[in-house]
Amino acid sequence: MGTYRRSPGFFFARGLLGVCGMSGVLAVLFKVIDVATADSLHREIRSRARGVEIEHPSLGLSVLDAAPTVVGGLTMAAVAWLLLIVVIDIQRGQVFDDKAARRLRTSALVITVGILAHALIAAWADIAVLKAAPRGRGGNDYSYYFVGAVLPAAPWFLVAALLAVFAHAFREGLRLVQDSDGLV
Amino acid sequence: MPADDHRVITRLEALLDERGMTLAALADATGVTVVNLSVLKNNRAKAIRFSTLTAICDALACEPGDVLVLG
Repeated sequence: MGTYRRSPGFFFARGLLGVCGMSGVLAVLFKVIDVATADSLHREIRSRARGVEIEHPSLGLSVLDAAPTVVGGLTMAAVAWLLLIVVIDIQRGQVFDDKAARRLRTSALVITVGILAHALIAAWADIAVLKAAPRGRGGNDYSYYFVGAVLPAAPWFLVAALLAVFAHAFREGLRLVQDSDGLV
Repeated sequence: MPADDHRVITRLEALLDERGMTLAALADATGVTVVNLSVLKNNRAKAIRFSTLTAICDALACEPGDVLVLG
């Protein structure tokens, strides 16, 4: 176990993860401030050409409108935090650690659950906002809005799959380290 | 089977004593580190490479069965 590695790649990774984590936290913070202070609600519906504007929305509607952003921001912050710890551990020379494999697996799970939760809540919010719109347009076809919300986020499933594969590779690495322990 | 569940013990200390050889001298002769030889001598090793065993047998002029025995 070893020396602290100072490769530029580590600092690049730490910087990117720091920016991702901070973006997630700021997105949540700004959305909460927006809900608390704004008099009107503007929601972009992915499957519609135009956004929807509602003056003096109810608190429930505002919270529902903000929820997908909050879920997305929290997901990003949580995953960035988990991966940042993995990068720091690798930099310290603790590469094939049981905790690293567990954190990678958790990251993959958080991304998957986060994307699905984001899409489900976004579809729910789309329908609620469209119903509350001045002309009361929109329908109740939940799956239509769910697909509209989940498709743009689909590439994140690739990231989750990649992290799950890395977690498996780390577990195999840990097994090899344990096998070679005591070999002379 | 657990990794430590074995009865193999090394006779490295006895072989060194018989030849009046130190661990450092054996390390020089074999190219194996003193640390690894010490692990082997104190029966803390879990596995041994054939290359390590060959080098030890060459240096001590013995057979693998002289180095490793079942306890």
